[in-house]
Amino acid sequence: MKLEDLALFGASPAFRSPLRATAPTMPEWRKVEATFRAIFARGYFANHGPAVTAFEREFADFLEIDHVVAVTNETIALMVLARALDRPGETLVPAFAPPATGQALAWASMKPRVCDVSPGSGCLTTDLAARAADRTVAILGFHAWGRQCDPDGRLQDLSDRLGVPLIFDASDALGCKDRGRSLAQFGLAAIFSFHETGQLNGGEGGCIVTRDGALAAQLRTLRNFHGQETPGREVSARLNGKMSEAQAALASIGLQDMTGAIGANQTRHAAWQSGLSGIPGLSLETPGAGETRNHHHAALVVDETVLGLPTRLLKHLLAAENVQCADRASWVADGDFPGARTHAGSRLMLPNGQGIGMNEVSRISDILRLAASHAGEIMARLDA
Amino acid sequence: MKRLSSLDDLAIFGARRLFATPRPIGQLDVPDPDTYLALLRTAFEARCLTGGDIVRTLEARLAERHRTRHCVAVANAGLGLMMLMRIFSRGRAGEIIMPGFTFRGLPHFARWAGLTPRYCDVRPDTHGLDPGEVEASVGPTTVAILAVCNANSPGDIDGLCAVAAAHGLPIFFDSVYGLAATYRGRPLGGYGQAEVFSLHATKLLNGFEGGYITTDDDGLAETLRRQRQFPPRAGCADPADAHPLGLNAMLNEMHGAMALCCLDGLGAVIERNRTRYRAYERVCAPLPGLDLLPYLDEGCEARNYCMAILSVDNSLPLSRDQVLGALRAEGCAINSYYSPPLHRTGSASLSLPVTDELAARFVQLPVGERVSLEDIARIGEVLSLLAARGEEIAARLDEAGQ
Repeated sequence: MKLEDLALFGASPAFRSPLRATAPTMPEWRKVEATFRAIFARGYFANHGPAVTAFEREFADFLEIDHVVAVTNETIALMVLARALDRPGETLVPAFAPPATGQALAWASMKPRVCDVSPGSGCLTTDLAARAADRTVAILGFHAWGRQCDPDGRLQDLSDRLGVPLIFDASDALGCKDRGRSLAQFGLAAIFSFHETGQLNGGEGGCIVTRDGALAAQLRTLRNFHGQETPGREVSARLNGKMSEAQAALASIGLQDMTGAIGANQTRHAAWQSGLSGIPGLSLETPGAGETRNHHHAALVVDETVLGLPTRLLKHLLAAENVQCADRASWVADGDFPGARTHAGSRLMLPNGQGIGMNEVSRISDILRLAASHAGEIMARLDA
Repeated sequence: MKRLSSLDDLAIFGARRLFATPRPIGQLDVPDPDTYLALLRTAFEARCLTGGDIVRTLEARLAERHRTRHCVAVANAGLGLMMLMRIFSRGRAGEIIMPGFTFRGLPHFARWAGLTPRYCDVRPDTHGLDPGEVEASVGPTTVAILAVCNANSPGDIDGLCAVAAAHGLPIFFDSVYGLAATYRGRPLGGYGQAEVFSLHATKLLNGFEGGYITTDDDGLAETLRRQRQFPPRAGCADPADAHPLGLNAMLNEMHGAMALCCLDGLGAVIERNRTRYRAYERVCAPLPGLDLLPYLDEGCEARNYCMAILSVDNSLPLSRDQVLGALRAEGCAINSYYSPPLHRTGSASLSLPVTDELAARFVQLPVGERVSLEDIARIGEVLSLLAARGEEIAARLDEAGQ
């Protein structure tokens, strides 16, 4: 390949139709059809019916956690969890987190206190958190890219020392483990998302997981106006946060084959690694020792100084080839958070998941290799 | 099928229950599965379950039906109400006026929006907010008025809007039970700043779970559309200052498709509701002390007949709760109607005499697609026995300590 083969310089794009980094994960139609026929036969559509009950149990087994409280979506999950904590005040949140985080907390009268993250991991570090946590009433960690946010347990120590709960956004961490232990088990509680672009598609949908039975009862009371599951203990404000039978049934289909889906992601991850190996300045977000990730995202880590090309130019160059990468620049909080900015600015999500096979991986890798080896020339041509 | 002749035939006195399968108070309309699956398949083929064509089509059709400029679909009606409250409060603390006689979720939604509910008395006929009482409840911290359109009547919308206008307050309507009903000949949907409807399976239009907001206000519709997909960055240090404060309230395509399919059969649903309601009317007409709540202005306004509310008069020797208990024992999965009233659930003591009187009186009878005319006749036999032999029943219940 030579530079003229790049669509950026006039060649036809490498792919005829766009490959999207945020393409949804869709289950097989025949399974969907059978599942929905069963819903119609039962005539049960909402209000914690058999499909929601079954899904909560299946997901608890999968995550190896005691309680799963299914809700409408992940924002509702955080709103309900924050309300259950019932601690109006400042909550420590990472400067790199899903954009809805601060607003979801604000609905429950919790004010986010934003803390910078490690530029390398994208996660809170205990040192950064300890400096910001003096007045906070809770700490929220984010397992970015499925990386264990608290690998050495020091964040939990800090939370214990301050006497404030530690909760996790585990939307990136479905099926992820640290030394064999499900990430769902860390902290007081964690939230998951079943948005269609995530590892498990529930047509929206989300949940809160916890080992704490009393908290689970409170969450179950909070999410609807049905019976009170917390005898003698009023919750401050309930809402309708119910997951429907349709959402639960869809999520159950995805869960049935989760091991297979994660296995396919792992195979794809290995292909990306070999495709990108030896390209200076480019690597892949990769698990450390003892970590198991779901590899739902293939996050390209760009070292701009070594590569000699800016990340946004790489994104543009790939877009010309119909390779639509995504980034998480909008996940960085407003303010002076260099760690978060550096982390998000150096990561591009490559198309991954359904529809991306070994051919696509190797073709995209070749384009990246070409771009890397001609970085100076590309910059010069674009300058001219 | 069991026939009722003696008191021993009643389930409260140990007889076998009338209905082995509980008879619910929800509409539970079900479209043809094949039609639904064909529509759902288009979403799967488009690989889009959120923010797709199905919900957009649903919104357009609902806006047309309600004769409003906008319909904004949301994940459920409660979230829709929370969104509007938060828009009107802009995060400031304050009071929101609402009826004392309504759904128990409303004060909770107000608290999510940072507001304090101010309960207000209702009219004895419409069960909706009394404009005079609202006028007297408006204070310096009032942020908005939340009125409720009930199944039996939308209430005095003009009177309430006039009070709101006189004080420069936003007014919006919980019209969850008002789909397909009219006020002054025009469909509900376009009154006040906005109206909120439900797509829950137990409501008139089944969308599994869901809701929508109708409005003629372009700016409000635009704000709601941004709000329901959490505007990516609030752009201010404290999200609580963000306007609007966002959340994920997107209605998914699976739910939207259900509502769209059921929308085609809505007229037939209302017709069946009317037939069931008329059957209840015939059953209740001869019974002393038991009356069916009328739908007001039936001759000139459209009604959806989604509820059959039984009014238990003081002249009956049995209490409302005893009537409720007797029907529940027969397999009626029913409730009292807005009882206890909202002002009795908090600590503050308020005097809302009409609300108190109404809240003590009603029982919701089984309705919807799971209830046949035969079922209504059976329920009528129970009610006849309760009306005719109330004193004996009360005595026996008393003996049993019930």
